Amino acid sequence: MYIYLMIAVFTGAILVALLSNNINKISCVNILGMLILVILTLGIGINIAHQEHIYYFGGYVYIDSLSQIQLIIITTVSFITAAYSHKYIVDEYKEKIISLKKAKGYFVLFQIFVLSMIFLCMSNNIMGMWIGLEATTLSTAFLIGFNSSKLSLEAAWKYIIICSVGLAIGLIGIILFIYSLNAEVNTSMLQWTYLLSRGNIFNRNILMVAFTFIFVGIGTKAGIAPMHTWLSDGHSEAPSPISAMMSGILINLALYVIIRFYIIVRLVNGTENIRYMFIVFGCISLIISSFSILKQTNYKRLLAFSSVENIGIMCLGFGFGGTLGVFGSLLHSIVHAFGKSLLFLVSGNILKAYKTKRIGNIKYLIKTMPYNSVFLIIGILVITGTPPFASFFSEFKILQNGFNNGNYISVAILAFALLIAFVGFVIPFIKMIFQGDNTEYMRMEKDKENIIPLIIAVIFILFISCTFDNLLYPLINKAVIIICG
Amino acid sequence: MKYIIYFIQSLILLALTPLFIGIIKNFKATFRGYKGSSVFQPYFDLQKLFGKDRVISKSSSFITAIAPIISLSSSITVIFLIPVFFNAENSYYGNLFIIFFLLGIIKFLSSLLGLDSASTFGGMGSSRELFISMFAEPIMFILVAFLYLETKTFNIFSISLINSEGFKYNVAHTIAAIGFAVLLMVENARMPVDNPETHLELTMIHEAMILDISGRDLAYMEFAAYIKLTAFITIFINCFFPIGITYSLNLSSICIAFAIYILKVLGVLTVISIIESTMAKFRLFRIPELLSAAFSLSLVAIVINYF
Amino acid sequence: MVEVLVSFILISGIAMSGFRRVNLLNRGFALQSLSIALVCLVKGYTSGEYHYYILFLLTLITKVIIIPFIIDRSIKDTKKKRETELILSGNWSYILLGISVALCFVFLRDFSDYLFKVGCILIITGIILMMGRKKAVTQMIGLLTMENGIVLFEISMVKMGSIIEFGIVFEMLIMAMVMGVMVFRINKTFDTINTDYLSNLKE
Repeated sequence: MYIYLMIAVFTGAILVALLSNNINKISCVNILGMLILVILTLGIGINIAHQEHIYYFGGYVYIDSLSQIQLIIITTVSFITAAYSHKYIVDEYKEKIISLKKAKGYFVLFQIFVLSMIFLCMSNNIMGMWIGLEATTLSTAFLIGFNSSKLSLEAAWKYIIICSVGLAIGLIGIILFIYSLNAEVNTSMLQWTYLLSRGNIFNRNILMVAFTFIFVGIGTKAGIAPMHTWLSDGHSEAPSPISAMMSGILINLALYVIIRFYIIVRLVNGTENIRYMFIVFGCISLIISSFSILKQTNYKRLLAFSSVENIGIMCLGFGFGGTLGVFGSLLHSIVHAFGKSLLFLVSGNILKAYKTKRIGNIKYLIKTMPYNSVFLIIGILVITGTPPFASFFSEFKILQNGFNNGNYISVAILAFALLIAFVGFVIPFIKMIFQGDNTEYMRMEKDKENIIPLIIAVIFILFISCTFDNLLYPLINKAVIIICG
Repeated sequence: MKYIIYFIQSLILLALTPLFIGIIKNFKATFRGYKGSSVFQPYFDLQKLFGKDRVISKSSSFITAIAPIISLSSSITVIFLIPVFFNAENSYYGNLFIIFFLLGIIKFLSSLLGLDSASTFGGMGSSRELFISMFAEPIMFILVAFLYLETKTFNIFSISLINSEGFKYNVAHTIAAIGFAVLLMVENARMPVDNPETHLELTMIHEAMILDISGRDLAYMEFAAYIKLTAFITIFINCFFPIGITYSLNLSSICIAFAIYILKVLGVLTVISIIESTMAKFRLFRIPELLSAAFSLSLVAIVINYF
Repeated sequence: MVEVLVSFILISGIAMSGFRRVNLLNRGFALQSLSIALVCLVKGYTSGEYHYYILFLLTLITKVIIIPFIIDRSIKDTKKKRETELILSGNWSYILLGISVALCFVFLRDFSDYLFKVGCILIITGIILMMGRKKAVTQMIGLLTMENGIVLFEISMVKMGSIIEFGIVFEMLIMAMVMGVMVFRINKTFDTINTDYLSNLKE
């Protein structure tokens, strides 16, 4: 029943966006649709709490706790972003920066983007997961190049080429994966649950090669270094709500697809060394991104590199492998989604007020935009992992797990990178907020606009930070049991 | 007995050579939409040239005296060494290396002839010819190696016999055939390497070397060039598509084999005239690109055949 | 019969790596896709399964007719339709491709199927086309060649993988449309499709 409602919501929203000519009405329908999706997700979540997993449509749709976490992230962040992009797009349309066709196109592509992500998340078919990833690439390509300026077209072209090559390599990996089954192929072989129950008939060597291809290929979409080169350009040139969604949800989902394949690979004997791939690539991501953060002069690029660093932390958590580490990674993915989207939305507000992306040109935010600077400070504290927010606990759990396992070098690199990232974050933003000469600064009118989505995001962050140990604990724990076996 | 048939078939081929060239010119004319000269025109051209007087420049040496005769004789020798439509085993002659080196004598002597006349155009033609053959000779040897790896023999009669039994058109064979086709166009000064009908000296490669000879010498050199083209076409057909060759001595099978051979030659001539009419000549320094593509194809053919 | 078609695919792959004009690359891609479609048809005829026929029709319509049409439309307005400076020049790309073909055949000699090796070679051709050129359209054609190689790969390894094949074909179609529009927009904004000018975003 839930699936039909979801499909109805999407078709309704896309039809309204295509047919109507009133931007306000389209945007309100958009927000309403996302709200319905949040409620539906809560309904599915209550169902999941009673049973282990749900099947729909005869096995094509499969939802268990791991997908439930991703569903929660997708729908809530989309709701926050939809609420933000209402004011954003309507203002741009009123000031005649963009035409009506472009604004309608924005909402249509937004809906397709969210639809493909939900399709990816609930699909049981491994080919369906790949189709969902490819659909997200194609729908965000135009969204990144939305401004049609020279820099954003360049970023969009790089994004299309690098992500398509990555997904093509991932496709080679999936084909090799199916080939390593050594059996006659019928359509039920593409189901993930079927593969999960046949852990013993894989050919080990071909399986390892297949997983390497999948990791490198889909890791391009996830932003794992050294395949991350599109991320800094793409997330900094896109409009702010789209950056928030991509940084928060999309790279999370790519990592989710890799984890789905990893669960199957772990069932075969003799593949224990695969987890070193996660550890090595995670360490490389951490080192490259933390040093890049130090020399940025564009605050949106800084946030994009911080996404790479957080993906590195999550990879390390999955690579260390114990229940603590995986719990930490899953919790970190949830908190990172909300925190990063909060930061990107605040930076969208600042960009609209100041019209520049350089750190050096913005001064004394505490006097000119006090509300936004408060949210900025909260966002920085969340992302860099300060207590009492949940990100501190997640990073601590990952460190603890690594220390218990004996991977001392990676733990040292992780701690070092976290320190450098903290420094690299705090210095530019503190300069932006607090530094200024004592001339008279007027409080900007634009400060009071678009605050409500930020408040919702902070409420979610506080909710998770308070309840990850008692209310959300069984949900995340079940997901950990699925991954760790 | 079979050696008599070999002799007769080579004589027939020698007599038909100007007819093949006339067919190419007629096809090209039809393709371009005008009524060209008749197919027997090259016979009359050669006859006219034999009747004309010789003019030899004062600064030329003995090369101008001996080169045309030696070229003609080596090309006629090549014709007598290759199978046309009747092929029984032959262990006395027919080594591929001797055939290709005899054809190389023609190239060598015509290059010297171009230099010998001490005019600038001749030297330019010679240097261009040697530049192109620097890239084309390795392809020739790699294709000979391919034929050896396929049939384990260097004798062209045995290669033709082995390839005609059974339908052996696998991937390597087709790719090597296309490589040899490119080599055919390059070695015989056809498009897109050299325009055989040009009258502008700065664009000539083969014609420039024979600019300064006249009368009987010109007839010998032209005839040698025609025979070289026919020899290449015959080697191409008999090494790569030798279906229809006969090895029995009765009259009916020989006639059928002759008819099939003429059909195949006509097919190759049609393809040559289509390529000549539709493509423009390449710039001189773009020719190595074409030849490196052919080199790459031949290399691939050997590897596919071996593995 | 399959062998002759496979040799056409190989020849088109090797020839495409050295071409400079975008028109020729377009036709080479169409020839390659036509040969792949005919291979599907022959396989369907010999094995009798109907999904090969559907794949033949789909490949014929999308890759031989629609995608070359999209490429033609998107470069209609560009002034220079051939590459003048190549990162990897014509001679070297032919020889590099020849050596990679040889290496491919050596390393994969245990597999008896030709299509698998030719699939790998097409993927390598696509990568050489993408890396060695500067025009945006050539990079797009390189990507499409790579996907062609993956289709061949998939036909030879996984029988009865209808969802995979249909997914790839539709995805290629939509990707070609998106990239075509993108190239058109890049041409309108930058007045050239040379990607040397697309390097303003640096560290």
